[in-house]
Amino acid sequence: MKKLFTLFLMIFLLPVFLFASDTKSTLDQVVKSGKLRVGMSTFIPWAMQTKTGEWIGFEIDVAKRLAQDMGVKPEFIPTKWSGIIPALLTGKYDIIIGGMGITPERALKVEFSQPYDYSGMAIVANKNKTNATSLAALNNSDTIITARLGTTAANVAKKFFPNAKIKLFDDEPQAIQELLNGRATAFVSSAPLPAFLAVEHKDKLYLPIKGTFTKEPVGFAVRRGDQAFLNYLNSWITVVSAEGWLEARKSYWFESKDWEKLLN
Amino acid sequence: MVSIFRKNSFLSKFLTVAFFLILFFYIVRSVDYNWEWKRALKLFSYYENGSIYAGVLLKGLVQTILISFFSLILSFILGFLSALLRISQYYSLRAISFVYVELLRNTPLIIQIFISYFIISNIFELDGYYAAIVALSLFEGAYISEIVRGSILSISKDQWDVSLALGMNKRQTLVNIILPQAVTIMLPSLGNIAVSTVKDSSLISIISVYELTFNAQKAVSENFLSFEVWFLVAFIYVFINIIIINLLKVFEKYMEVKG
Repeated sequence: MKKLFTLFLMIFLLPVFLFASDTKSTLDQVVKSGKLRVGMSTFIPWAMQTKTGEWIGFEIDVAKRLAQDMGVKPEFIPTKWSGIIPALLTGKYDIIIGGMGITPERALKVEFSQPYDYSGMAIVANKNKTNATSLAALNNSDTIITARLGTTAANVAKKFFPNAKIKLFDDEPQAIQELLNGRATAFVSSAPLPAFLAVEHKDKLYLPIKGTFTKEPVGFAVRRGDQAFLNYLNSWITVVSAEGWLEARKSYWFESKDWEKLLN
Repeated sequence: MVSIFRKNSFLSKFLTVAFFLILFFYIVRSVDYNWEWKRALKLFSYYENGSIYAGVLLKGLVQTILISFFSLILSFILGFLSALLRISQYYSLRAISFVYVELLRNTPLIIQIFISYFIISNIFELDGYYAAIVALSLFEGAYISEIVRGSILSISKDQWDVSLALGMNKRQTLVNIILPQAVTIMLPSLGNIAVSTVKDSSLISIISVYELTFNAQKAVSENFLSFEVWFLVAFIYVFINIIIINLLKVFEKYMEVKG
C-alpha cells in the first residue's frame, strides 16, 4: 500500500514541478500584484531602520520613488548581504535595490541596469594598531583587515592588501566591533561609513587616506532574461537623473547629516 | 498489482530510489537556475598540472573536523565533571553545576559564540578558533551533563544500597557498579551530541573562523554558485555524520557484548 501511495504522490507532484516555472516579465507581475518586492540590506546611509522600524536611506528613497512611478507599493525585504543574490534568483523579491556595485562576477548571475549611482571604498584604521598613512603601508602580514562578507569591500580588501590577513563578518557591526576592540587593524567599506566611524570614535580610529580609493558603478539587479523589466529600469534611471532628483537625494544622504535625528 | 510491491522486492527498492531521483531532478529543473556543478566541485578539490589540490571546501572540512573533535573531547570532560558535581552531597558544588547547565542550556548558541568571541576571548586575547572551541564545548557540555546525570539516576537505587551494604564506599560504587551500566544507557544520546556538535560547529562561521560553512559562504559570495555549493556542503555534513553514527554503532555493539 505504501509503495502504491508513493507512486500516486509521484504522479500528482509531476505537474506541480512542471508548471512551477512559467516565465513572464517581472514588470507585468509587479504591476498586476500592486507591489514591488525589494531585496535590500542595512547599509549606512543607504538603508537604515529608525527607532519605529521604518526604513530610511538613499536606496529606500530610490525604491519608494521607483515603486511610486510604477504605481505600486514598495515592500522591503531585508536580507543578509551574502545571500542577497540567491534570494533574488529564487524569487524572494523582484529586484535588488541596495547600492549593489556592478561587477563581472555578479553579472554572470544577475542582470544589472545602467548605473544610477557611483560609490567608492574607504578605509578606517585603529590608532593603537598602526599609524599608516598609505594603503601600501597597511599591506603586510601584521595587518588584519575586516570587511563585510559578500560585499565588494571584501574583494577590494583581498586585492589591495594581498599580504594582510582578511577577516570577514556577515554583518558590519561585528566587523566594526573587531576594529574597536583592537583585534583588527583596519576596516574597509563603501564610503561614507569609514569617515562616519572616524568622527564617532575620534579617540580610537583615524582615516589612513582621505576619501575613496576605488570607484564602483551601482545598479539595480534583476533576474536574467527579463529584458522588458530592464528596459523599464533603464528608462526610469534616465528620467530621474535628468530631473536632478537622484543627485539631490544623494547629497541629502551623503553630504548632510540632517537625517541623523531620524535615527535617535 | 500489489504483489509486485512485496516487502523489500527489487522493484519496490528500485521505485523508491527512482522516486527520489525524479523528485530531485524536477526540483532542480523547476528552479529557473543555471546549474554549474563542475565549478562547484572544483571548490572541493581540483586537478592541475598533474597533481591534486585541496579546494576551500576540503580545507574548511578539515577545520570543521578538528574543531568538532577538540570541542567534543572538552565537552565530554566538562559534561562528566558537571554531572558528578550535580550528584555531589555538597550544596555549593551542586549549585555550580546547576547554574552552568541551566545557563548554557537555555541561551542560544549563537549568543554564546558572540560572548565568547567579542568579550571573553577579547579579555584573554584568544584567537577566534579557540573562542569557537570554548563556546562549543561549554554548550555541548551542558547537554552531556544532563545526559550523564539522567543515566546515572536511571540505575535503580537498590544497587546503591546493596553496594554500600556490601562495604563499598560511594566512589567505588559509582565507578565499579553504577557507571558501567549507565554508560550503556547514555551511549545513544551521546552519539546524538556528537552529531549535533558537528552541525552546530557551522554556527561559528559568524566569527570569521575559516571552517566548512564559512568557506562555503565566502565561496558563494564570490562566485554565486549558491545552490550547488550549499547542496554539496549539506552532503558533506551528512557524510561525516553517517561515519560518526556508524562508528558509534560499532562501539555500542562492543559495549553490549562486553556488558
